[in-house]
Amino acid sequence: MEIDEFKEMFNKNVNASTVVNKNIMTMIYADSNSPLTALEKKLRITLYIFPVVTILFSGRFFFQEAKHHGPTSWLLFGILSLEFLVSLLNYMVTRSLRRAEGPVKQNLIAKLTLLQKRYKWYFAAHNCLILLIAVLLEITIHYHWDSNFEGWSHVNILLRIVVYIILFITQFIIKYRSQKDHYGQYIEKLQVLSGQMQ
Amino acid sequence: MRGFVTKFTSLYTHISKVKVSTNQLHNEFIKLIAEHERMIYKVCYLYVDDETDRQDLYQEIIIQVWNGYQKFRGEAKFSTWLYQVALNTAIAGFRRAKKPVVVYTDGSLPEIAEYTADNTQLEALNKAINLLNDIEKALIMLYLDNKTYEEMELIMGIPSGTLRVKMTRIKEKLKKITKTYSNGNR
Repeated sequence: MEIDEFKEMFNKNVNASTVVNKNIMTMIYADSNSPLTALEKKLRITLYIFPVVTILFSGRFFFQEAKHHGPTSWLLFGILSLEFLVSLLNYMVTRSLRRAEGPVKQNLIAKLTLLQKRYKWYFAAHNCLILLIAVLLEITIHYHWDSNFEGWSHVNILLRIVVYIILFITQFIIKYRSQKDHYGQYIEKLQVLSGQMQ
Repeated sequence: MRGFVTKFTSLYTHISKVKVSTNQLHNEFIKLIAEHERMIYKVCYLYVDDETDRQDLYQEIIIQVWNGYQKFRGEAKFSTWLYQVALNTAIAGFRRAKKPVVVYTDGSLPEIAEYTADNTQLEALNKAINLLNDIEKALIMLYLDNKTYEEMELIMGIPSGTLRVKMTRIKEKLKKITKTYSNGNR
């Protein structure tokens, strides 16, 4: 039998369908069960947490004397702000991924490009940040800016470097795995779909 | 005092107007969905096997259609636009393998129309379609829904020339699978 002969049968069969959904408006205002919505919710929570933590942390700068504001405090403040920016960016990316308008091919390509860019950018930014922390820590130790690190400064420089490298590799593996779980599998899926379009 | 009353009255009128237009929009939307709901069912049945997942996908499509509907300018046919939204949600919606069941405030579950084959040939076709990849499934669904190549191009974003080649291949593939299935059933 030719496929064209199925057309009528296929449409007739669909028209024979019975039960009709009556909950359209309830559905619209109910929470979606899609994984992207779940991710969006998680990220929204981090958006609420970081400003609160940052405000609490910044209290140190307003209520304490300037001489007590070590560079490490500023560094931590900077990291918190950066983490907040990353969360905001992730939230925006997730919202963009939920967009379902436009032709299927263009929609897929747009999502794939967005995820790939975000994946690369996030890794680069995060690794730079970790390196920056190590460098700033060494500068702080060298100029004795923060008495909290006096103990660390007595440790052999080579051992310190080894510790930095171990920490860097550990965080890299953890981040790589978590990113692969969150985004990597979607990138792979979109690449497969994109290939099917050709 | 008179100024306050005037302002209050105009604010009340404005709120009433907004409420009426929102209700109108809701009614329009429900009507359009009722007219095209089988299109959404088809997409749900094509891409998801599990009943709960199907209900979730149906809800997600409705939410996406509603979100887009408020911005929909009517540049394309509603059915074309609806197919785009439904397919984009189903194909690149990052669905999980297992999800909890959604229970609505009234305690009910959204029901999706039963889509059963009434003869073995159609059953064979449905099974064969299930063996296709996601993009091929979309193409054959549009083809069986009597969409022209121009409409398919608008929905899928694939040039009509490529679509024709792809359709020939898909038809061949389906023919082979249905033949195997029919022979196996004898």
